[in-house]
Amino acid sequence: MTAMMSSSDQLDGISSVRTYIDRLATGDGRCHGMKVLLLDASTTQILSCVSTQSEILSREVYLVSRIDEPPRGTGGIDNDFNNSNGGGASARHSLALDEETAPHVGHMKAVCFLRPTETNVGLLVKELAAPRFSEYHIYFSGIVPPHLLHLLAENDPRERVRQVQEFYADFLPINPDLLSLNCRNTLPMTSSSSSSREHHAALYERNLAGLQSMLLALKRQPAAIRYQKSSRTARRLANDIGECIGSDQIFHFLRGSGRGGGGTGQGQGQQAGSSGGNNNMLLLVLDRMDDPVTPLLSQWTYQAMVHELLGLNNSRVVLRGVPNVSKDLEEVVLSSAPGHDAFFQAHRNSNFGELGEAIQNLLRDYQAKSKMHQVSNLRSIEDMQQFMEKFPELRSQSHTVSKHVAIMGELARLVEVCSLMDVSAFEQDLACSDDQARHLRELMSKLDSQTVKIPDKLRLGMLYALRYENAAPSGAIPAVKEAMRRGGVPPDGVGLVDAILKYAGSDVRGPGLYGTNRDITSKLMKSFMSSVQGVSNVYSQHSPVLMDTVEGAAKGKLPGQTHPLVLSGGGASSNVEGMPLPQEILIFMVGGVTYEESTKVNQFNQANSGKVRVILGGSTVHNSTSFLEELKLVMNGR
Amino acid sequence: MEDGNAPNNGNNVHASALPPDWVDDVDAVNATISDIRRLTLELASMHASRIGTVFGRDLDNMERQIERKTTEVTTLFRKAERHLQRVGSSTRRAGGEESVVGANVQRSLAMQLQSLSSDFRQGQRKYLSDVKAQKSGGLVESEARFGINLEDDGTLQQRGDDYGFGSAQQMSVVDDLQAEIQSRDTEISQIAKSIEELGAIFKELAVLVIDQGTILDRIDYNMEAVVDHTKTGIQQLEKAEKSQKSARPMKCILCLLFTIMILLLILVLKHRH
Repeated sequence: MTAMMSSSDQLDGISSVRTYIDRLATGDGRCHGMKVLLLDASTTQILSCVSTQSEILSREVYLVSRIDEPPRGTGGIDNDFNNSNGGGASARHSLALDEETAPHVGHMKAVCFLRPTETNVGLLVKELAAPRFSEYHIYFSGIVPPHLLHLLAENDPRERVRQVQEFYADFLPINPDLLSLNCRNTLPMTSSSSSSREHHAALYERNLAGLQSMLLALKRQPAAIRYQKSSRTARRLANDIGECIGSDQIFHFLRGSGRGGGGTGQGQGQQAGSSGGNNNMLLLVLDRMDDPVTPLLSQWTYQAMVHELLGLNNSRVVLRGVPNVSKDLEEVVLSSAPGHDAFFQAHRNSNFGELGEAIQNLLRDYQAKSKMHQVSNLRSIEDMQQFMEKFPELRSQSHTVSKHVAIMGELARLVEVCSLMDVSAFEQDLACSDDQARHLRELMSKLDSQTVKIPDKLRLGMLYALRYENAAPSGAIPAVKEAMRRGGVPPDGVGLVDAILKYAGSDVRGPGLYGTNRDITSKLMKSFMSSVQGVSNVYSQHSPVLMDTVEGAAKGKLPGQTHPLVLSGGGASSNVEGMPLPQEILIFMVGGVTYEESTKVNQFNQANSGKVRVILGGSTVHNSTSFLEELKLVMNGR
Repeated sequence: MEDGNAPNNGNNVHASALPPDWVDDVDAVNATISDIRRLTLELASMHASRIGTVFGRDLDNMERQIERKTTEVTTLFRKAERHLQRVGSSTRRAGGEESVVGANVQRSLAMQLQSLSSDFRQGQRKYLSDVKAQKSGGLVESEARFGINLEDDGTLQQRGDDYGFGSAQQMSVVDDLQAEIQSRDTEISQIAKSIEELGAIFKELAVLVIDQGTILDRIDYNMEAVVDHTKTGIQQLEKAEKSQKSARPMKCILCLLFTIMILLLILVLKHRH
């Protein structure tokens, strides 16, 4: 890990975005004094992900405001209030009122960080027509189309705009190797037919822009772009990004391969391999559709578990309504950004057992420290002063400890109440081994059981249907559905079984799930190995399809038939012979990724440190709830 | 921080929006902060030189200077805090976005002040304990000297000559020591007092400073909180408006007026008869 940190040019999502935010907060060195930050909905999330209130305050950013919802409602109230108060100050304010709409903050300078959309530029134009601030420093989070730039340039009557720049921070770096666009409802987009393409145009644009920005922020030009053949959206995205790179000089970083337009066939890739040296990046565009199983499984590592059971929304966890939780812990932050929460950073990929132990140690440390500084131990003035000095540190530590203890307590309670140990063992069994008759028997008993919760019954039913879509005896799946209904699953939940088969059944998805693309010998080998070695942990035997893909790609063994290469002139080739091995892989999974995949990628990176580094990006990060919600949209044909 | 204001003022000439009064307070706080920084540095070097000297003619002079500097810094802290409170009260009065800006300015400056004051107090404490150690060390030293002197005294007494002279010398040494001890005592108590005062300021600032790592330090949470506040504020105002317009007090007034009219009528009728 330390070796990875030491190389300065390490692919790291968090530090790339932080660099941009640091420059942003100082107006790129050209904006001093009191500042206002104007954001839109998605840049707010991006900023919150990597920075904190106290950090931006220390840089004289004293107001953060949304450009799309200016505080109109308060304007009138302020004026009434001022006038009724009378006095010199308010008289001056109301004088200024005639001049400008919001005079109180008119002396401040605005730093705008927005996505380059028509709406945002429209709002900016409106803002510039009646400027509330003395200067405008505008940063867009992606490539600005020329016509929007024109529009902006033509609509600055008072010449308040000081600079316009592009800062490519258009994604949330959740972990250093996990990027998300926080863009929901992409599942219907990936599964819809091409006729409804218009309907999802905005979503598609968002994904394309996000992927562009990932490449630009990481400052890499991919030497090769490959995609998953079974997915139409993945193909389209890969082709479009290839086209962007070919036509726009901005993607051509100096150390990259140089000309993207020239070269035929996979020449581009080979050029990069020969000249690029250590920058041989593979961009792999995948689709969630290939692996509908992973989002349905119970999770046992910290970050994944919190997301599955409590919901982790841009590093925020809501604990409201949890029994025995104090008021200041109703909403807590679990962030991987450096300097936030060292414990979470160290243990986000630890499993539940290790985690319990780690939290116990944390608690013990804290107790030892707090005992040293107990109030009863204070005998002299010196003691008291020392206590006062240590007090803030102690208090922040106490917050960290109580936060993790509260989360852990709630996780443990949920595991107990929902008998998740039992459910998860069966889930893993369903995902990893082939035994139709036994699985059906066990499934039926689980569906009739009282202790298994209804959402878990739904997930089990779907896992069975996915596994034995073709192998189940006729009537087995309808019987399962009937049992689900009996077990209390609502009708639209039961309908999801058909929906998931339609979305990602064996006809639609690519090969690879349940190890179907392995040949007989390697399958036998695997089952032999697992029977000899035994399974180390029943709850984490499942390995997502993604890992097979990643390992294949890293070894250069990813077949061109399933993951063809984008050619620079457009079109695709399944001939991947003689391609250089990639040193960096950026995976973008349209439709969303999961924390299980992120954990596995992180382990892969640690095991292959120095050889190859993988960064995982996705439209969003799913848990089973969000995945099923989006699946419902697919079912309803939206 | 100060240099940011020069172009700011220049812009405002053609922006024709004068910054509100509290901006001057903010500037004052910023200036005070840089003053405090400078003075603390000076003080630190003075402390070092004071600790370095044990006896000497400038000792008193030095201590007086340190004392003066210390009170100066403490006054500056108090001044900064006063300005900060003014920023808070005037922006709160203005309401809306300005109050948010004010609260944030307060927070940011309070954070700076707090770290400064904790540094300052640490320096003071170190100096205090050093002086104390020196003093107690000095006491031990002087007691030891006393012992020797007493022995000397004995030998002198035995000798018989120089008796009076020896005693006078001893008395003057004792007087010197006593004076020294007293001066250091007052010095220490003064420093303790300044620490106490700073402690009070520290406590008041602590209310303003955000706990890092908590949800309160999230940018998006704060923005949502502002929206929530505005919403509840608007609701309250609407409620107030409604209750103001509501007919009940109006009805009461009309009813009373009506009664007065009737009573007047009765009065008039009664007087006619």
